[in-house]
Amino acid sequence: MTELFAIVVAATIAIGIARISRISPIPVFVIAGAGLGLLLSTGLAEPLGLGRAAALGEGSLRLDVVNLGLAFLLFAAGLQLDPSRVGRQRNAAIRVGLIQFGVLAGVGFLIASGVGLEMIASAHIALMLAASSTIIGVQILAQRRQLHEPIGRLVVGVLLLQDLLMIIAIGVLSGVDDGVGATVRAGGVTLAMCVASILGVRLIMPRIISVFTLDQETLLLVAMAVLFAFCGIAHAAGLPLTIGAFLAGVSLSAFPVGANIRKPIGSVATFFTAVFFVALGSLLPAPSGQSVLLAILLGAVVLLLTPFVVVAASLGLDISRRAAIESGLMLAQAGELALVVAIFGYQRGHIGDDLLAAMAFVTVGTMMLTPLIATEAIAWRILDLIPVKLPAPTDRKDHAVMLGCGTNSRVLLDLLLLSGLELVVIDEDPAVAARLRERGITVIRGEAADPRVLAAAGAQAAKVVVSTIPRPSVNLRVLKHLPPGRLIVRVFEAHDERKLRHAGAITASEAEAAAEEAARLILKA
Amino acid sequence: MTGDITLMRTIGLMLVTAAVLLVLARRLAVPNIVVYIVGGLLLGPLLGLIETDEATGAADALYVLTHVGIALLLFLVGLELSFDKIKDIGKVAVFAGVGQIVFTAFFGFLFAIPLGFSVLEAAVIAIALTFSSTVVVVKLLRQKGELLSLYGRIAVGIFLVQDLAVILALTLLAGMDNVAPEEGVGGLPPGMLSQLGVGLLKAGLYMVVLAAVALFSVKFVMRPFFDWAARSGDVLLIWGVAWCFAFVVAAERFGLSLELGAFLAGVSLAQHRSAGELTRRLGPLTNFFIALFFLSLGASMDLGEAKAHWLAAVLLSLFVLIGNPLIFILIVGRFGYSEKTSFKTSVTVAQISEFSLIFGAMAMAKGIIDQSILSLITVIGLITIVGSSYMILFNDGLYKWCKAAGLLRPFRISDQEDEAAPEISSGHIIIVGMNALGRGLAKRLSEEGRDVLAIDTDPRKLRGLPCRTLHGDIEHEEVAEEAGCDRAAMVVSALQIEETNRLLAWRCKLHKVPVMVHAFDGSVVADLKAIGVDELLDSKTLGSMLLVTKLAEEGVVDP
Repeated sequence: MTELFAIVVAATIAIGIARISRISPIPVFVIAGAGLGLLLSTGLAEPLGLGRAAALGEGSLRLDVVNLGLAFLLFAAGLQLDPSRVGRQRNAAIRVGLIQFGVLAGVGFLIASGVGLEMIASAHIALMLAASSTIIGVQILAQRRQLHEPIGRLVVGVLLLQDLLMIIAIGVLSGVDDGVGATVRAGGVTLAMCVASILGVRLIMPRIISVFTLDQETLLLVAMAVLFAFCGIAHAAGLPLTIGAFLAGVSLSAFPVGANIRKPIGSVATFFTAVFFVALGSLLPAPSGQSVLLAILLGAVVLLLTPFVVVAASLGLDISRRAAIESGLMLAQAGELALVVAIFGYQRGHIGDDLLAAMAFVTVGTMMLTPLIATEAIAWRILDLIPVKLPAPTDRKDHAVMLGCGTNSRVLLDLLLLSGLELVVIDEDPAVAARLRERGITVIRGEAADPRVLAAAGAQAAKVVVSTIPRPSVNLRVLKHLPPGRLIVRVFEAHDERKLRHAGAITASEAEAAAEEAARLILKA
Repeated sequence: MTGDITLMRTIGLMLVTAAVLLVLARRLAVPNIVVYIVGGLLLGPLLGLIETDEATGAADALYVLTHVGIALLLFLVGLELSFDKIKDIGKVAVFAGVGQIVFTAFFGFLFAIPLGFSVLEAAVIAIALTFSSTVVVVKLLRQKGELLSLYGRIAVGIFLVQDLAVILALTLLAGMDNVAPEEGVGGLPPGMLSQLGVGLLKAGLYMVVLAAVALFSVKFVMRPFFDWAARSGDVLLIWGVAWCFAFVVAAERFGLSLELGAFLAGVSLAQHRSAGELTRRLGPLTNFFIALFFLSLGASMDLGEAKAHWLAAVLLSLFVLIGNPLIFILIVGRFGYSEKTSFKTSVTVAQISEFSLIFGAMAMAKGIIDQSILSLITVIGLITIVGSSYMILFNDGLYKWCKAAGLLRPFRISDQEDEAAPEISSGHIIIVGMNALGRGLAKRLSEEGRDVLAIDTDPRKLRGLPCRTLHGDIEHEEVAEEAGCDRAAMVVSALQIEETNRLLAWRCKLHKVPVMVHAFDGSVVADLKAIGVDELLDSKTLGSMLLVTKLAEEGVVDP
């Protein structure tokens, strides 16, 4: 109990620090764990009842907890990946996901071979770089309320595809020691499990839950039983348990099963994730100078190369450039499956102490940096560097400019068309642009907050600029390039409304309008 | 980092077995505890699929995990029982707790002698019979939602008093051969009484210290920290667990029970306004660990040599199932509680505890009893835990039956009800998500005199609202139950979280409650319509219409 208590105390401190500094708790857990490991290995914790021998010997609680924690961690990650969340971004996600996976894995392999690693170790490094972190990606998207935006759906799709590829690759690696036949067989078994779990998503689970109305406790136990059953099958097939854990999560992810168990599983997973990462940190060997250098090199590759690969891969797709850049920044890290690859390779003797430490270092480091790098400010900085093709600025005057023209702004479009004012619409979405052009409306394709685009529309001299762009931060950016009182904008939250007014916008509160309508409907009934 | 998966295999087998049995037993109204113990029996003694030998590493880790379960369960009990809620039952808890121990031990001893046991054996059996299981009863009371009822609170109070007695008994037994190893089987070591006195004093002192720390630390030091932690569910969960563990470790260092430490940790946080949310977050984690606890309890039961004592097993089980409540009903009734409360409280003590098994195992290790007696105690444990689970689950029916049969008349206790059933609100309007839309709507409807309940995960967003509020995450079914979602006139979600809205709408439709959902983006509409949401609030289009009005007001266009 004392050992577990020590882990929980480390996690308590770590999650507090993570919350204050707004970085993801995962890397902080690992660092706190490393601190705990140091305390234990030097014997400094002996007065607290944590003996040196008990801390490092086989059969230590932390070793057991690592396996259990990893299973829950991957189960929870799989639960997030409901394929229906991807929606219309499916094709884009497949293309971006495949290209990112292939390019990063290739570069990783070349670097690893270049520094003289064996082929099998290089393959582990390649896989580490290939897939991004589902936990981090979904967490950031949820925090920013962007899961339903096109960028959210794209990122979830990419993560789902990459995770599945990773799982299959790990499966293949597990047979590599026993020759070509075993390798092929292991890959086949993994693929079959993937197919089974996806069929589980679509066909079986929704029926089970609708047949049995289960109480929360039973539902939790059933979900856990599925988790361990998948782990058992994976183990019986000679694959790592964790593959089963992840696929069990995917198989339960569809609505309404996934939605019903996500919270109960979430609280179990939160506890075990914290314990897992702290325990992992405390068990990691200290890296040598050489492995730190390799880790820094690989980390830099992930951070710098990923955004460019994602942007390049999304050219010609129905994704705005800003969304592509933001997605690229959000995907620029090694993920939790990289840790699985590392631990798995270590257990099989494919990679040694030094490489294990390096891989953990890359994963933790890049995960930690993501929330600092995947910001709007940096996305704009990059966007400014990309040349845009625009019509020459016109000398239009007293016209109306409309920023963004989705389906929910049709009323507005009709009014502006009826008003007799000359209208210019700015929208990034090629489908929207084509539809409007068919109606003879002037459209400029581009980011509304890009000053070059605003200039091309003659927004400075317009009589009015109407924005239907949902993100307040974009509207605030637009305001910087317009005289006060010119922009009229929809906004939802009260604090955003205050900010926009302060910056010189005329605001219309969506929340107010919706609250009024809701009250009317309820009072009428 | 080895590839050792013994623990994973053990837990996996346990959970799969438990889940299959749970689903199969669904229509038979079998208490979950019984399912778990049966599952454990199946895996351990019957099929031999899992080993709970203390020597292997997995058993060690499993031991820690199951004890985490007990700690968390008692922590939750403490969280639900703030100090105000237990101070009125202190007296009855102490008297009934001590009284029952004395009477059960006395009568149990008298009962066991004629069954052919030696004096020492009879003494061990009698002591083993006095302990009742806190874990079993608390789990069932929580499942029934009656932890806060009068009888539930009295029962918890009594069990905590008994837990102290358990600790003393175990400490004494453990100390026996330390004091006088060469005196052999069971001879009373010299200085035992003074040792008992010192032990009592020490335990009492440590308990007072721990309780004082628990009560004052949150009030004067920790409150702002937990206020801050409550703003994120994950932080609250981890901090709560750490708080619980801190008291558990401290209690163990002081020689007090893990249960007591965890309970005090819970009571100290019960004063905090986020106690409810913490309880809900910890619920699933606790269920998981407690399931493991009962499964491994079942798996470690050794029933093999009980055949020799089958008659004693039946008679002693009946003594616990019927005799114990009889003793109890007499004591509790003397404190002026109603017949119903006395009866229901008494039913809770009709089982022996997992500590009885531990006590028995220790006695066997000291050579006081042999394996057949330990098996006997185990069988009694199995019968009484299963039997009393049903008695507690169906205590209302049992009470009515006993009353109708005239069995309660000899006790001459007033049958006036002690407390009225709490009022259940219905016909209210629930608004989830206190963003600008939620707040605006809550204010408007309250002004019109409607009964509104506002829910949010962030306590700060609930401040200053003119209606009832509830801090919690609506995705937790307990929050929906507490809010009375199934009895509401209308449930409105103002949230901009796709998953939560979908789940809420789905649950409302399951209960056939009208639901209005914020369709904050075009891409979420189809799924919501498929669920059958009654009203979709398209805030974007409504905002566009407001923009049209504004444009006219500003004189940009003609209206």
